[in-house]
Amino acid sequence: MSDVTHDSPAEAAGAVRTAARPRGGARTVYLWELEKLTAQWRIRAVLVLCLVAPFLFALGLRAQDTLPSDTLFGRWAHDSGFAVPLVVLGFAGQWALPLLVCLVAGDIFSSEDHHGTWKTILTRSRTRGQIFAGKTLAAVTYSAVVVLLLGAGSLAAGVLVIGHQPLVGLSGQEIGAGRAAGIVVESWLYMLLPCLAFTALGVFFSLATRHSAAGIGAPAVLGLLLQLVSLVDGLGPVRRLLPTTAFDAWHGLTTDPAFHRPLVTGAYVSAGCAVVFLAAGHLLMLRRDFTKG
Amino acid sequence: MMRRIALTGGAVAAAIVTIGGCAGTDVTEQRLEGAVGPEFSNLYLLQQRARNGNDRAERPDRWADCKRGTKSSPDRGAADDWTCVVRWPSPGGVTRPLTYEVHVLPTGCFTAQGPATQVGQQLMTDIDGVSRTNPLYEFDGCFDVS
Repeated sequence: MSDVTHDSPAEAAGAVRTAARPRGGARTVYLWELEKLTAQWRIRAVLVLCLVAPFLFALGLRAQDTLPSDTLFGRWAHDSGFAVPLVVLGFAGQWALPLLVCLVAGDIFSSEDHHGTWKTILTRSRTRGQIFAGKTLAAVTYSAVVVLLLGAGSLAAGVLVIGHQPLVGLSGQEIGAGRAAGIVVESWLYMLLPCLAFTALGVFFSLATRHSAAGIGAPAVLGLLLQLVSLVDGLGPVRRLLPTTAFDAWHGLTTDPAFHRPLVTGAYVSAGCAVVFLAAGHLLMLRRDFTKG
Repeated sequence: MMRRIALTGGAVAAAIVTIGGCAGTDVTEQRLEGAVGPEFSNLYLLQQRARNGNDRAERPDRWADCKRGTKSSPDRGAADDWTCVVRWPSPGGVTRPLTYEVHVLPTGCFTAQGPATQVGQQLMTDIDGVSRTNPLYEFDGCFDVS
């Protein structure tokens, strides 16, 4: 509206701000949460570490003769740079990703308990549903950024430090550099799904326990326990329904012929797990009596 | 509260083991053979190409015969006592059986270790004199257990 005139620049800025920010949107909560997250040194440190750690790992690999041969693709870590992001992926899927993801998801609600700020934010004319949506979206955004940064960092580290030689797949087949890069990207992108499930778990535990240590620790420990359960033979149908199984689903992309069934099952399980725990968290948020602290 | 959580957890774990125990294992002889045989064949060609610098090596067939170590146990289930026999075109021109010791995980991934006297040590020298990973010394693979 160019014909609207204002008396002072300050007033004009105020008018623009009011117009750009619709009242009562989950978006405001979301943007504010993102701002809070990026202001924390802990979160900044994690994000930088996700980019830097793979380079340290690759440099360490190159400097020594021993290989991480107990991890898939570890044997080829000296021979192809594309093995590095897959070694990191196999390792991260065990416990690092659930923990990294829940560092924010498990803390985002309980930090309000810790600081005693629920009453303050609930009087800011945002509904509980909007606060839940905004905070959850912020946690999901952080999770996605962590996974993508770690994936991009380890692919870059592998290619820049070791090189772009062809990769030997899990059927002994040679995979050209282009296709190998494609497999790495697809595998890491797929990790977004199980990480979404663990974000939902973190959100749920954060709301249920009202304690950040439990919110961060419980999903990570649960992830480890489920990994142990999946190492018990004869639990086939159960293993397929565990949210941690999806962390291994990428194996099928690296064989010849590829198998995709675990990817499909893992996607359904991750989505189902995310929906169930987010719904439960939402219910906890709506039902909670905040007047009792 | 903690007691209730522990009881629930125990009940869930018991239920999981009961349901799962009835379902049986996903690791079968057929699945393992279908993964080890072709992988050995591919890796043999890779080793010969690195050693000789050409593709003239004869490709072994994709056959493998896998068995559990103990006679009493059935040939199924995740364990570290699997052995797989493959057909190896030995340097003398005769195809010989080669036995790999295979450790199979319930997730369908396995590690196979070959006899170093026949397939060579972990590191080998390629045609350019560069030290590199010997593909046949030890290899990992995965098959579909879903």
